Amino acid sequence: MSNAELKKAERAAMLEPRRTGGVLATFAIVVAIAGAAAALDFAIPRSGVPLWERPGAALVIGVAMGVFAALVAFALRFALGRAPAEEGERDVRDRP
Amino acid sequence: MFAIALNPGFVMLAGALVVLASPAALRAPVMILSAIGALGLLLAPDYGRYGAFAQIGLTMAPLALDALNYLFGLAFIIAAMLIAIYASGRDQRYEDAAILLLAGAATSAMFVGDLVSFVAAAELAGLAATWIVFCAGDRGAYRAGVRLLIWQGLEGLLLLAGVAFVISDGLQTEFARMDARTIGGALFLGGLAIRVGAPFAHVWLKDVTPRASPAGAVALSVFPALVGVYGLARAFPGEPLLIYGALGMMAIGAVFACAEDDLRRAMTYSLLAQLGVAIASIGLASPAGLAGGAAHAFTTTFAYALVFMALGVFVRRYGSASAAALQGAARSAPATTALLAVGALAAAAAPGLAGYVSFAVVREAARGDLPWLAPIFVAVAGAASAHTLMRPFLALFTPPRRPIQQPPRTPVFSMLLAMTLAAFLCLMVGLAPGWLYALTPPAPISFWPFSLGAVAAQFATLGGAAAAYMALRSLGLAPKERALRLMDVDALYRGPFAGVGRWTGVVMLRLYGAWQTVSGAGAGWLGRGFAAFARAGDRPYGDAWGGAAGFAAIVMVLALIAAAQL
Repeated sequence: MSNAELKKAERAAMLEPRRTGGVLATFAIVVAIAGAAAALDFAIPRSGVPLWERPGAALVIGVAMGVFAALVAFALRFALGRAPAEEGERDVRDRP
Repeated sequence: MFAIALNPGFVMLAGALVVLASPAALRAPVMILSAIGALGLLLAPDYGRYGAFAQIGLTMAPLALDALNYLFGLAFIIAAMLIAIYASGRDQRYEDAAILLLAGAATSAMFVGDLVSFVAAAELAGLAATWIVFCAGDRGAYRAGVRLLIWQGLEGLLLLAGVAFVISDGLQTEFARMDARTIGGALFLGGLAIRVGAPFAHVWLKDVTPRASPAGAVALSVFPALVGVYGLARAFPGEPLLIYGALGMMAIGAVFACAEDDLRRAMTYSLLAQLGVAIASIGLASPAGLAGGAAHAFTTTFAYALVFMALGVFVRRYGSASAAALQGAARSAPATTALLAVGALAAAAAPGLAGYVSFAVVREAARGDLPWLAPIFVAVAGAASAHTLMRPFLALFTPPRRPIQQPPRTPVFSMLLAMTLAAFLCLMVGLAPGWLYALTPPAPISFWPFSLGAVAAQFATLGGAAAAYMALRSLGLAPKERALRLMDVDALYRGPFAGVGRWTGVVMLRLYGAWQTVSGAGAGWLGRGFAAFARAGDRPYGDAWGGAAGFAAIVMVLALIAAAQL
């Protein structure tokens, strides 16, 4: 099997609905939480509420942090990552 | 009313000795009973100092109970019970004893009232932590344990030197507020900074926790660093230096937790960030800061204990907590995955769970004292939702690249029971925080964390961060999980510094060898010279001129030395 075929098969496996159901469900819950919070923003009086406690602004902070997390993961893994784990550094052997 | 006034930690220390000699069936009951005994001793007496006595000219106070150590001690004793239940399904005598010794020493450190006893108990806790790491048994754990010993030695040196300066200056012997601007106070602060994992000293925690066994990792995540946080809350509340150190911990913790592959190591970084939040709050000048910091340390204990317990189950079943290796594991361990979700949500301060009720106090305290700090706390919570909640979940739910093997071991009931109890605690504190607020030092607080705006804002932060992270992952803009190790500060002393050390050792050995060769040759040459001289002196009819010349030379040298002395 060529590399392209392998990639195609992998993508097909990843798109299999049964397997991605968990991921999609998690995503739906997360988006629902964020959406509900943003909707609440309209219902809340704003006088005296600091910026980071307004749901709309908090959502922006949250999205920024999510993007930041992904970017940091990219940068750190690129700059400081090395693979694979060192020999003799297996995590644990726990006898039953 | 009759009440025994004894340091609760001492019961667990005695229990550790009993565990060492007990058969397998008795170890878990002994661990749990000693924790229950400690709880009884905590609840029995009123606040105050008990049983103080004089020793080597110093006042020792084995028990000094107040609101601060009551809250920390309660967290430790409940955590010890949970860990005892969690660990009861396996047969590891030495690790059981080490865990109970760590819990006992850490709890003792909470309740002693003088500096020398605190340092002794904290160092005993450090040694017990090292023992736990050694109990994991593999080569990597052995090396990590040795590195931990070095860190503990350095920390103990700083603490003890600080105490020596403080006592010799006649400042204080009791463990109370200290001044970080005296040399003794500064050294003590340095020792505690190592213990809590301040920047550059944070590596010891992430080095050892992922190498311990599942139960050992839970104990290591709970006790050692929290002893340091308690020490800071006791000795340096309102100290501005704490805030700057804690900012470093938050940054390092949040950043590395996003990228580390080993989930137990990633969660250790995440724990560091949360400890940073607690320490920054302790550094605030107001009493609300101390209350928030202590409460946050309390809730962090249970949230991360639950997270590490759940990850420990995966380690036990799959041999690793690597995000790359656990892909698709959620299907085979749905209960553990659900409990991990509760722990992760509690750690990320989701409303309704333990982390939020303390986080709300911390945020409010920062808003009053240092308004610029409050958005940073919010950002730490947002990042936590990305790395503490999303990363493990995406790994567990992501389709595996190749079919994962059927888990070799079924879940142990005791592990599930301990996790369920921890999840219950997270929910109980999160939904009804009144009793936690009633226990906070220095005085009970009345606070309502569930205002609509605050709850909605918190959900928005967590949901936004999680959604953004997940969307980027789905689009392939965030890195895929694969097995790799991230380098941290310890890469310096494990790599180049260790290389320099080895090189210096080799050079010194060669220099020593060369010196031995030269000195041997010189000694031989001198010996032969003296032997020849003696033989010349012995000959009665030898060359009289030669002997006389030698004698004259010696006299001349002695005369010169005498002249130089004058």
